[in-house]
Amino acid sequence: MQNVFLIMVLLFLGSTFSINSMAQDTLKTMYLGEVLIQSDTISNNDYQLTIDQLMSQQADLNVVKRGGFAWEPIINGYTDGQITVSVDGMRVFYACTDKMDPATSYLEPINLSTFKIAKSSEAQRYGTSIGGTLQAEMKYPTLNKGTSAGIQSYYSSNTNGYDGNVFVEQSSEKFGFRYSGALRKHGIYTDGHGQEVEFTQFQKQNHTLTTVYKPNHQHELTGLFMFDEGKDIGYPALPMDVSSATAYMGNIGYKNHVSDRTFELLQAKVYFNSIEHIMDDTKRENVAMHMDMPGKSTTFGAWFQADRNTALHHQEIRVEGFSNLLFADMRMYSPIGGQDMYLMTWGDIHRYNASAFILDQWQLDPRLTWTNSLRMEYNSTNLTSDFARKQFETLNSYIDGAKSHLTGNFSSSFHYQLNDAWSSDFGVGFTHRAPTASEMYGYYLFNARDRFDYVGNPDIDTEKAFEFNFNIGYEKEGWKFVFNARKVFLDDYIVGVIQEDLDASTPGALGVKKYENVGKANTSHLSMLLGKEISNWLYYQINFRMDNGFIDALHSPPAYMSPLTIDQRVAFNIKKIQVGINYKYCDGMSTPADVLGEQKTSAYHLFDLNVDYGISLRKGILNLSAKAENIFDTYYIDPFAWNNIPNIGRNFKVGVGYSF
Amino acid sequence: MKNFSILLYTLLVSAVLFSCDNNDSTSTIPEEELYTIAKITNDNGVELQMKSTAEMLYEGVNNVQFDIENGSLSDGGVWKIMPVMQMMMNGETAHQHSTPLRGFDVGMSNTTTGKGQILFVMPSSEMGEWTMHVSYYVNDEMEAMWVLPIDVNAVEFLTPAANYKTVIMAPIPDSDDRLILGYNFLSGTPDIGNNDYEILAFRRTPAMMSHGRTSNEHMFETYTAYNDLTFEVTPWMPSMGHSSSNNEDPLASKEGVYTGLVNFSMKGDWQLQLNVKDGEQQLIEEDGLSFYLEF
Repeated sequence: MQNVFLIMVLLFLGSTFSINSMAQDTLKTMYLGEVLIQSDTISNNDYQLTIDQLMSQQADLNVVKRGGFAWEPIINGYTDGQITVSVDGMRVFYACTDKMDPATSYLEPINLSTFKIAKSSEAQRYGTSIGGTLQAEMKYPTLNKGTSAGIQSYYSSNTNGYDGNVFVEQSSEKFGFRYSGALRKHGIYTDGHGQEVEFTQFQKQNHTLTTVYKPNHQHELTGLFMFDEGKDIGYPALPMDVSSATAYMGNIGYKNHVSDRTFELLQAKVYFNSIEHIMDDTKRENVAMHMDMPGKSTTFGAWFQADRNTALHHQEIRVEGFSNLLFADMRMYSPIGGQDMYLMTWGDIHRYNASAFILDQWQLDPRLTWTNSLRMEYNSTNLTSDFARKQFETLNSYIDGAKSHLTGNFSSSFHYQLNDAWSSDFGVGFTHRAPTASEMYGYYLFNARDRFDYVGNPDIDTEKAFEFNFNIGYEKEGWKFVFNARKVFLDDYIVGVIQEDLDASTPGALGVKKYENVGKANTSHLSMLLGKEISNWLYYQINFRMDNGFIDALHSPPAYMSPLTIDQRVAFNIKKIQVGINYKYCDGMSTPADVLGEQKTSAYHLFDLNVDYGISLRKGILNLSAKAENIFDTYYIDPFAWNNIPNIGRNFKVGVGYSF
Repeated sequence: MKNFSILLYTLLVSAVLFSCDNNDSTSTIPEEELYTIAKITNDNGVELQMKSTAEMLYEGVNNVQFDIENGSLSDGGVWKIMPVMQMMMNGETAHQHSTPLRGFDVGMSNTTTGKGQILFVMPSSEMGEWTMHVSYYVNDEMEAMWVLPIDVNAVEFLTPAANYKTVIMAPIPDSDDRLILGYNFLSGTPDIGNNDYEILAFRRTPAMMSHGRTSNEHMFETYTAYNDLTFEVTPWMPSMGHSSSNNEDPLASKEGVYTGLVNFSMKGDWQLQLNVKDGEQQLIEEDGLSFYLEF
């Protein structure tokens, strides 16, 4: 969870050590990197985590839990169309109308080299976003490294679950490939009261192949193919589970590096990804009506980026285009043996997007850097199925063509390095974000949290945001301190509004909400990190964060505003044994967004303990690991968990890993 | 014998007052392919074909027309159309009745009746068969006559219920008359989204058995366009338990015709629950008889 703070430290304090050097440095430094001030770099120790667990450990990231798997990422309370997810430079869009498969759910840590949360200018490089960008970069083989491989296997007591992963990497001077894969299978978990939480099981497999071909220092070709398949995934917060969620992703990239030309680095990539998501309610009892709800998302895209460095400037120009096609439908089987019912929830929603992004970092003087970025984006979104268009007639919406939105962002920030210890940033940003496919053309999408059916609004306008961000940091003599504040003013805020004249479609739904621009809203975000390297074997860190906000039209806070959360970590080495103790306090959701389905949750305390022991062998390292998560078997509900599903109780995890 | 038949059918046709109401224009049948339902050639070698917008005739409203395909008729005549149900019991004719119809005026010529609508109140069955009695008159003299046996199919539902109807026949309080209702989608068939539709309303008056006529004298009931009704229609999915939005209740648009708009938000089974009044008199209540369709 300390990723963002490390980013701040690295970027704004101008730390002398880099992420990569940390990962490759001494055992102690690596230990700090892995356990305490986790960098964006995904370490070997992270491989056993699911991507959900990895995300939930990020300081600037929260997750929405609908079950034990496929948690939805939130950045400062912003989610879905308000944030961007970039996987190896690719835009990836989920295929489930109920957000049961965020793009991140198709990732595996063993495939990733970095996973970071970008905000402000950095975030706009990959897509227009108000909240920020999740940027996952795949791991490619390191050339001229010969052969390396690794395998890990972990057992979890609570779920009687297994997590395994393996990678093999082979490279020569010019060519390399890397295969990595993961296999996971977990049963239902038990909460802190010893009660089984039904429908929390999941299993998945992932296979990824990356290649690099670098004939000389100037040219580099890369390739990626990834297959990920989740099966038998339970969602206790929802009325349905998932029988399969399958993703195929691939890209071909090219880099051209010449030091002595205007744009010294040129990069380009073409990509595709296809996701198919099949919901399943056949294992649920007392289902009013069985339904088939498949969804599919297909994306093609390409981008080009040119980087230029001068004595005082770093500049980037990036252009990108993608096409995303979404389809989802529902077939409902009459419980009385009558006619099957059918509708399209996403009726071939086709979005074309073209964008341009420019960034300039200007070293005004040795202590002051001014960064400006501009992103312009054109979105053309169409509901192309005649059937789906006819459906919208029932909402008095007559769709005869694509809707266009011109969106983008302008960000400007100053970085001031007061001295070798203190630094500060101040920035502003203005963003227009395009409505999502569901916000435009979703058709009776049931939201199990507020129990309303949601319908899209083809005429909806863009959502605007104006933000201030400020941080100040200190790092010297083992002390680390970062204070971060962010204020966002929104206009034409997009949220579902109850439609009294519309009848709900889903049995048990309370009514229908239609996405509308409701005017002004605002959010505030504070976080603070304090860390001290007490000795060369002992480190302590504490982290506070909380969010707040208000939607004027609803007289309600927005959803997913983080209550006060305090994380404390102590890590120490005893010879080759690395020990970490984590303590988390969450104040609970005391002011939930009732109108959006949030519920109050209680405060809780969590304690985790992990012990790692590395044994150097003649070739490679054997690592033994043991963890006790939620040591005191606390019964707790995550503030962002849907429908108050309790979290997992005490879990013992043991594992062994070997790599060379 | 031929003269007697001509006289009989002249009387029968005349009894159906609305049979060719030239004041009642119609434009309800979409311009689409017509299917030949039945054809017959009379003694003069003139072939008459019955055509429909559907491949078959069904219980309920049918959009049909009759065309001359072979032979010719004199100009300036008028058509008389009479559907007849011959009810059988123990192999013998028990009684006859007709069914309401309207239209057959726009485009009428000596080669076609023009378009019209027949609301078959019941399907063909072992208990009774339908025939269409069509005649052509010039200067009140019958020039030609055809009797076409036809097959009217029942509309069957996967989930039948006593109040699910294609044709509604409801008693009118304080009278022997009955209200007859049928529906017709202007696009031909119900579909997702907006559906313009019409409800055909008739008042059925039983055959008169007095006024000097003997009881065994054949006499048909009469159907008159039922105006001045008010409709409130709620589309309802019985399997799902919900309605749809932005519907428009049918309003009188022509003689005995009420046109509205119904939205079907998904495919499946739909009721059109009816609340029908004649002034303050409740004829059908919403939880009573309803139109029902599956698509």
